[in-house]
Amino acid sequence: MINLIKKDFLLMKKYLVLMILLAFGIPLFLIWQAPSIMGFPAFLITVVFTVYIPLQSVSLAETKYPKTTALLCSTPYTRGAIVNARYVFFLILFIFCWFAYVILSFIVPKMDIISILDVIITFLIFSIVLGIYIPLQYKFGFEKMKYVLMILLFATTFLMPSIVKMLTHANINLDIFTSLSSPVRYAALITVIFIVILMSLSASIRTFQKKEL
Amino acid sequence: MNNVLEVSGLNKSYRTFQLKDISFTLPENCITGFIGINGAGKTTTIKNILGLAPKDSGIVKVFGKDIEKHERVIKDRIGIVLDEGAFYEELTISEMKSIIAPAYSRWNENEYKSFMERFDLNPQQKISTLSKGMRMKFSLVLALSHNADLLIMDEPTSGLDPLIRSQFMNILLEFMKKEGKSVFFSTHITSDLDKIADIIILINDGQIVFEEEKDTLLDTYKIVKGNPKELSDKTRKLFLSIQETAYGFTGIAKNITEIKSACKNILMEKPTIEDIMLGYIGGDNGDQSY
Repeated sequence: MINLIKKDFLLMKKYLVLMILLAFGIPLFLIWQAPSIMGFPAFLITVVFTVYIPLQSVSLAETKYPKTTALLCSTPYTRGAIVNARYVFFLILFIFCWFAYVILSFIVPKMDIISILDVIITFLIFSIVLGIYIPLQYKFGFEKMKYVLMILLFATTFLMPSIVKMLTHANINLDIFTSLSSPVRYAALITVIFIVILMSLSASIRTFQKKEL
Repeated sequence: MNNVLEVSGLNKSYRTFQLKDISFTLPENCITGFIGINGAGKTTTIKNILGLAPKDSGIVKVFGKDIEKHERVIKDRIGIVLDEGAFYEELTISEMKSIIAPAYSRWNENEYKSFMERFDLNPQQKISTLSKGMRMKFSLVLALSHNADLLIMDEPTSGLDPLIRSQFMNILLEFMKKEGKSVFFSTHITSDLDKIADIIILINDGQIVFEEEKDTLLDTYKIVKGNPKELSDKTRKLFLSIQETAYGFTGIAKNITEIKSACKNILMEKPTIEDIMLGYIGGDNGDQSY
């Protein structure tokens, strides 16, 4: 599994520096240009733009070299392991974005440390978006899905923070949720994330297992 | 002799092509050539054997076990060489190896290094800069460095120059010197098999035409040449295919005794595997396409 995750990093090695620059550069740019959106929206934007490049580069490599996927599936690597590694790869990228954001918040005086709740909500949105996108890409291929990906990412970046803000300010009765203690609230959100990922993973594995290579 | 691969009743349908009830076996310690023209179904059969394309029906057993149920254990013992190498071209040889090698429980790093040196491959070289021959050599290095018992190769020599093809054949013969090794080798360049194959399987239009020991095959069939006046409708039917001009005919036939008694002044030559393949694929007896 580690080697399959490493494979995804190797496929995006050309863009590794750019990705690191984005993870650190986007929050710095936002604090300079749009300090009002620091916190959850800034972190979400950072995650989306940082992950977009690796997502596109690994998908493009697999589209360009379909026979290599066939070769991998001819080895003892199972198709399930290949899909699992892809999900872990994105999880690592998310953790890296968080890590970059935390480091910056220690260095840059104007930046506050992002709250755990904001990280979890961002991860929930990230899981839902990729959780829908990845199985669809396994089904239809990158070529057919690349425009959907662009729309999804831009919608997530520009609409999602507003939607979340709207929901926060709307008179939705969240008493049950807010009355919960923080650890229970986190646990509830993490459970939802876990379910989303498991459902997506299962759909991706089933789709990829049926795929003709 | 044990069978390393048993395919029975394999069916797979596409919109414009289908594999029809493919059945054959590969004995241990043999090089089996899987021949057929382009589009005959060789790659599709190999893909179905390896589970790269889900089959409609049929059973594939490797080393006596159903590949669907024992996929990892079986694939650990198979070395794969796919057409054109099938690598990520942006990676170096060393990076590609670092992805493939950990998949195998019996990976032998010393053997890998020794093959790399022997084939003059630089681990730091980018795959996109390798020639087709070097890619194929690298593919073979990966297939041979994990103590595989069965090599499955799909058109490995296609597009290679004669020198590399000859080196390739020698490596296969070297591989076969070890006990319990087998090779399944698809190709449309049948001359590669004349020297090294033990068994020949011919596939055409998604169906197995024959599975035969190479020596038996070459002894059974003959190229027959003679005067067209010797031919009648009855004798024409004895040929797999026949080519006629005003000055003579050349045909390929199996029923040599019958032909000898029907045609008195004929010349017989030993065919190549390609002659026999074209004899079958060229059409029914009496066809002019041989």
